[in-house]
Amino acid sequence: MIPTPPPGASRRVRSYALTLGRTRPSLPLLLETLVTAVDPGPGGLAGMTPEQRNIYLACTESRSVTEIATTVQLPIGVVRVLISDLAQQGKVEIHRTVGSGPQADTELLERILHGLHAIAG
Amino acid sequence: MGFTPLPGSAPKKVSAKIVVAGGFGVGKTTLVGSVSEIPPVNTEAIMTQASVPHDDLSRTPDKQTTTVAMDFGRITIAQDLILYLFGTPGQARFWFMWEDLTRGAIGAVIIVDTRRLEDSFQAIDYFEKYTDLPFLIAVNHFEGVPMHPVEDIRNALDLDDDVPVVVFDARDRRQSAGVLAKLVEYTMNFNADPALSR
Ligand SMILES: Nc1nc2c(ncn2[C@@H]2O[C@H](COP(=O)(O)OP(=O)(O)O)[C@@H](O)[C@H]2O)c(=O)[nH]1
Ligand SMILES: [Mg+2]
Repeated sequence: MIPTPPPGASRRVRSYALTLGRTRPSLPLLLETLVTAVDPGPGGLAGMTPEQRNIYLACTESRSVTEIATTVQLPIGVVRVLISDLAQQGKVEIHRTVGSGPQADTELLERILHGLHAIAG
Repeated sequence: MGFTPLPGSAPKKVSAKIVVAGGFGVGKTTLVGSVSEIPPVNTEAIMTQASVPHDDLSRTPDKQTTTVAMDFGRITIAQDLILYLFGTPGQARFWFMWEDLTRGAIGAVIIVDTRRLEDSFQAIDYFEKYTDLPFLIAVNHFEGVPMHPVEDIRNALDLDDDVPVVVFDARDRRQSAGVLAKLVEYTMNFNADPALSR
């Protein structure tokens, strides 16, 4: 999908500049990825920007990236960057997803199937 | 604050996503609304749309934002396991967000209305050509419309033999959940059998 960069232009440097030196979180922030605020520690919410604080408060109960973005009314791309900052500071936890294709967790798919059968009756 | 977990110790949770696609008026919003536990099924998401070619990352701050109304539903399977439903936005100008919508999904339900099957061709093409995701065809049966044999629908849509075709009423919570269950079942077979994967 991602095209090869032209010679001389390092895409790594450009990506780094784009996110102002932020590195990617170890878990991907998909639209459905759940995020949970954790105890912020002695500093509390001080030191967070207003946007980060709003995001933090939006996920005191676990919420998906989409729900958080809708609550704080910021673009999803921006919310992803801010969530990964908060995760690196240990203020929020990013949860995993069931996954697609061969990487999907079969046991979890089975639990989802059971849950849906229970609704379907 | 009403919680005291230490950093890194929030109870583990897992989420999954199913995409609901199909032409305008086939019943996407109705399906999501009938099975979702959260009432406002239509979410206004602010998306950033690339206004420059994808490879020119240095210019991404120039991207423009658009508000996209999309169907969004949630089913709590268990306290630690949440299933989200995402309906695809109908308008062609929102094609850019299909990659985000489909990435990581366990599969897709493509709804068709037999009075205008062609309205769902684009969605079927998208899943066949641009994703590896398993999908099934859910025929939303509107009362007063003649029932067509499933094999006729399969032929008219030029589907592979293994793609499930089911008939349901999107307004019915149980039937909608049954369609989702059928997709998950198919996904499990699909993931386990390389011959089914495209
Ligand atoms: N009679 C009947 N009407 C339906 C059914 N499913 C959807 N509708 C109606 O058809 C219209 C279009 O459905 P909607 O879910 O909004 O389609 P969408 O454009 O795919 O989201 C709405 O007015 C629904 O109430 C059905 O199974 N039977
Ligand atoms: Mg709709």
